[in-house]
Amino acid sequence: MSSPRGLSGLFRSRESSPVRFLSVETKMFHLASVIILSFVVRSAGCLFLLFLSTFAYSFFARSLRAHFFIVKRMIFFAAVSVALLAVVIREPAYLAGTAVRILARVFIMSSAGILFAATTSPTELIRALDTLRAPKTLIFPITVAVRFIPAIVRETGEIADSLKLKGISVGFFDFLRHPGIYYRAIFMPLVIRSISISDELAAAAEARCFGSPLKRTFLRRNKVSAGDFIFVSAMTLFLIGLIILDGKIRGVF
Amino acid sequence: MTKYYFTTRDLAFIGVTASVLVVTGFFTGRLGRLFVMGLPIPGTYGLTNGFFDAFMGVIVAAKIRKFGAITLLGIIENAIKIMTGKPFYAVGPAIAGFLLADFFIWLVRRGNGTDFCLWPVGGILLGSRAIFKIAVFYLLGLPLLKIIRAHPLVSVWVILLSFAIGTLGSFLASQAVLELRRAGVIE
Repeated sequence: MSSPRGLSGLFRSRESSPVRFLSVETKMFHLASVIILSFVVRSAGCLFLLFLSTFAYSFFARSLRAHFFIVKRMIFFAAVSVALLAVVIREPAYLAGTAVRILARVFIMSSAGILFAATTSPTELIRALDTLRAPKTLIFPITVAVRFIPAIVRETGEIADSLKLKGISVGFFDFLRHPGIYYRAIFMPLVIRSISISDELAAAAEARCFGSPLKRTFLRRNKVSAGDFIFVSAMTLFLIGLIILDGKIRGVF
Repeated sequence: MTKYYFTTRDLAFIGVTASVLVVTGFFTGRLGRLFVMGLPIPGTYGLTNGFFDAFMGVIVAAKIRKFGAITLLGIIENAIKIMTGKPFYAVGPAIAGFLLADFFIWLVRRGNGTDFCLWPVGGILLGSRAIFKIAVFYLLGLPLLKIIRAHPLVSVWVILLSFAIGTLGSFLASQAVLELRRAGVIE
């Protein structure tokens, strides 16, 4: 089984990328509009255009590495899936039509999500959620969860490394042969570590007056800039154009 | 200090658990994707990572003995997963499954049931999630329905399999809770 360390690349802001000038709210708009549009648009050509737009965004965001880390695995599974479909359902028309569209939608939604995660730091996310007046009961666990993904990945790696020192292999085929090893030697220590991490974290948060009735302040605020307006306007025009093009291809307009 | 229904310790544990589920979902999700894309049947994605949802759900329910704890876990997990590309139509059924499981836990607690009585939680969580997902596919009229219409028994098998995997996950978790309590990790 491959290492999940590539996950650590998510939820980090690329300081050198032009996308850092965009506010998190604008990135959320991009994510939501792409996800919704991937269902509205039905023609294969328009879905491909939508995928190309997320690819271009990834290029400008300088997050191609994080993007490819996940997308290359998806391409592998898509290839296996199409092969499986070809064996199970011997309908070339279904394969060329519905199956391709399903795969394209999964790619688009995952790409848009990965891009959001790869270009947004946890601090920016908290500030955006606070601006959007999300309840503290949601903000705190989301922050903890996002911040602790790399920590959990590191913990899992360390547990796996300690098993290797004992001569226990933790590859994919070992998992298939002895799933009990994963439960006893990896999952249970991970659960115990999670409990102790959360206890330490709660003590640290309480020491820093988490739960104070006063309004939380930030050193930096998320500001909507001219770049946001330009991006949102360009994105809106692209979306409208895509819907019209899709309608013309399908004969709706 | 403002008194919140969930304490800081509860929220921190829910957050850390959600990140564990995101990481395990990354591992197992690929296998799930193979099912979803290769055999386009709704509800199958949860078969692979649902085990961990059921397992961690029971651990959270045993540690945080409050109504809504695992629903909050489901909301947080799905909020992060939607930021990393989870289809939006799958979020509602997933949270609804957590909510139903929470109601079951509430009933168990009202009946003075022990943590061992939580073993059906995972079955309820995954079984109801599979039912809701298939219902959403019917409601949205998604193209995968062609296969379900041709072979209606497939849906029944998916629901039964989801229930079985969820029950296995929560049964193991209820055993693990006993061990963790004996070890003093959970109060």
